[in-house]
Amino acid sequence: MADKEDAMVALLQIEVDGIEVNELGGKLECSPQEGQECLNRLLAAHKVELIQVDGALRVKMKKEEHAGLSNEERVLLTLVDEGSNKGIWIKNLRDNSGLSQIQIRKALKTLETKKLIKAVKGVGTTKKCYMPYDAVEDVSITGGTFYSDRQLDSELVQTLLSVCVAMLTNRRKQAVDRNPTDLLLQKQASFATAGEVATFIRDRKILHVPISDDDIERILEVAVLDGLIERRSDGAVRVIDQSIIRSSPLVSVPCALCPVAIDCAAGKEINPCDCKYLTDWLASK
Amino acid sequence: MPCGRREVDLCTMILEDHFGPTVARVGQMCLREKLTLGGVIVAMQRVKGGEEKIPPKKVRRALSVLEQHNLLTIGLDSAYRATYETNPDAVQMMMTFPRACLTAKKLYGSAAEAICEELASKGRLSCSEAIRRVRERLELPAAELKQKFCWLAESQFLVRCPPIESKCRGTPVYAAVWEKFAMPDEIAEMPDTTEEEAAKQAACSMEEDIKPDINLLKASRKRKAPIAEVKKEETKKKADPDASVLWQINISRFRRYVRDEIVLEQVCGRMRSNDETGNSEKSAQNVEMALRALLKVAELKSPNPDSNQTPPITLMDVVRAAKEAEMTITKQDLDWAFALIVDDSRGIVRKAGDSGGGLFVLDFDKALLLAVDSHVDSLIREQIDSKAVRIRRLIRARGYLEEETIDKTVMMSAKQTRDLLYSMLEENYVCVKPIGRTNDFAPARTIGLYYVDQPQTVRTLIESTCMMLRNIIVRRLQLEKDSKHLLERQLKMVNIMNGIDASQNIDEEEKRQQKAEVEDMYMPADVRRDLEIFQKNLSLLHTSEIEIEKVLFTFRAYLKSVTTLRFQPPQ
Repeated sequence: MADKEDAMVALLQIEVDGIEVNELGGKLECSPQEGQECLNRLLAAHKVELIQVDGALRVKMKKEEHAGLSNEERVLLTLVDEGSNKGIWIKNLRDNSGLSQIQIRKALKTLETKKLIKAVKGVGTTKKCYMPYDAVEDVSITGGTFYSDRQLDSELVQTLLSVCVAMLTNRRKQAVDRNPTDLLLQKQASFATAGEVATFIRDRKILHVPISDDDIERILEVAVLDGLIERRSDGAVRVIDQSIIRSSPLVSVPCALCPVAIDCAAGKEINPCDCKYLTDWLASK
Repeated sequence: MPCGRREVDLCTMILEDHFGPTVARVGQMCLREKLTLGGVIVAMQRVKGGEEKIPPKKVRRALSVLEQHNLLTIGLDSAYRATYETNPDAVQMMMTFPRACLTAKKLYGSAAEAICEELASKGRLSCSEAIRRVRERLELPAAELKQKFCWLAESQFLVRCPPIESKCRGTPVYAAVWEKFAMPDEIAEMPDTTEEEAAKQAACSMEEDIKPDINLLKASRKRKAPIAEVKKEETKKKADPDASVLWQINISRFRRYVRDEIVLEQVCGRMRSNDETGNSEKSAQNVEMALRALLKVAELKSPNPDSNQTPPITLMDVVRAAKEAEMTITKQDLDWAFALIVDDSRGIVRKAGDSGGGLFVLDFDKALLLAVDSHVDSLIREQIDSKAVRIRRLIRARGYLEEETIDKTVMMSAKQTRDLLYSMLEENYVCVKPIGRTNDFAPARTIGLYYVDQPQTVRTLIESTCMMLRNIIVRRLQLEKDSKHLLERQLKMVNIMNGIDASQNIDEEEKRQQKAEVEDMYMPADVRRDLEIFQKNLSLLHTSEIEIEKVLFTFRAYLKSVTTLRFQPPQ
């Protein structure tokens, strides 16, 4: 029997991708039943493992580094491997493995010290995720171009925002200069697509980081929300002249911004008759 | 209609400004609840610290003043006793009288303005009486005044008060249907001005000139000179043929005019951005003219003047209206202007078809919505931060959103986003809806979705706007009270100077010298400076009051348009 086992191990070491379970008997030149028993023993000894490939069960040598792991650690490692570079949250590990919190914590610690997995924190969240040690983190974890060290790079966003708006302002100015009489043509010519803006930024080499069209699309979305640019139904954008935006008459009166407005009433300590804010406002105008 | 605490405060201040503290107190009591005469009298006997009891006679008088100015709603309670309730809308509309008078002046000249002023200061008047009163202060022929009155009635800026149909246990029952804008067949004959009257008028107008004419309404109230009273007594001998037909200012018509102005602001304000060359200037003018012509057609064509949008209007109708209004714009220019308006008005003017040179629909609700948005954004920008406006716009555009989605889309740090969201939540600019993942609503398993309830925000803003207006009125009254001595001093000085001017027995040089002396005595440099500061502050307060009143109108009109719609407008 031991011979068969050795033969199977020798065979599997040659066949790195593994052998289908049904073919075992044929390859080892023994009955399927014998092959089956032999396989069970090797599985119990954690020397080989079963994997499912395209619906067929294959038997394969277990990797060397996984050999010294406990059962719990092995289960967790498989789950983390499945999560690949997107990472898996500890709560999902617990649900999928069915292990207790303490067991999981212990096993994860061991795996971490063996440098088989690593813990990462995604942007904008405190959730700890685990992923294989050598996996490259996904964009959903790193946050993409606008994040450095898991922190939003507000300065980069602001710079890009002003560059985009400046480019569109320039475009509008040119449009007005070229069509001084026709307002409709002026309007048509002041629109630009996100692709054009992105090409402009890439050509000028304004930024050191590579920037995609989608990144520019996100920046333009922010500019639309800020009321700096407007979007046409086909997605092209043009800048809005800020000089037409007038502030509401409400904000010209200090009562709109008064921090103690809620306590203000006639005959009370805070009242409009001797209000300092109103006095200052009248004096300043 | 019940109204909030701040609204009651505002109405009370408006009443105090126009009619004094007694009417204000009675009016305030009737604002809070429906009361019988006995109820009001008893309430006026219960005094709080510092207030005086108001005797029953004065209470009656105050109620009659309110009724004269169309501010009371009279009803019957279960025991068939007359009840009185102040109408808060009518009170707040009194703030719009200066604007209404100005509109009348813009459209029909100063005679129409004078008629509106008289009606505003007296509440309701018959046509003959109004014309007589205007003639007492302006030298205008009666025929012209009657013509102006007709125009105002025709264009529905004036409306007849509902006649009393019957009386139920002493309480008047007003007619539900009546000829609202029909002129009476006959009005009182007005003889041409005699010399004696002309002299009286001159004296009257001189007295008026002295007073600073800042508040139109107040000024016209002061014009109730004793001479006019005497004359009234004389003419009262025979009753006017139209004495029973009383008119009042039709505020809702003036409000529609303001609404049209908001539409113009929203559309033309954006076009003006293109004013970089002279040609664009002309285009902007064309756009304004086209829109005015469209509004004119809309006014004539709409089956219901208060509807949310106009029926489709053809370009041909607009061309005709422009021609009638003597606008210098060709059909081609109009066509071109409409192409621009439809493209750039953000949905206020839509193209509905191609027949008749193009069919256009004007959406008033959209204009109000955009106007309200700009006020709210402006407020958030000043009160919180411009980035808060970014967040709010995102939530409005997308509906219910989680914090995490918000901070990723607006590209701000989670901390800053949360900070701004909580600030907005506090001021009612955004709302949060807790969604429990489990049915026990444990905090750890509950998420909050942010959304914007614009009508709710506007309701909150109406309250704070009412407070703002009240504060401005209080401050103005205080300022007027504090600076009374300055005005009296100025009045005295002007009187003396007029006396010097009128005296026959001194020559020009001496007159000038005497006037300089009087001026030095009454108006030293520091007093003059105080007076200038007072006048500047007063006009600033008046301007703010008028502007904020317009914003308040915008808010209310928006709420009305939202609540009358069966469905919520697409955000």
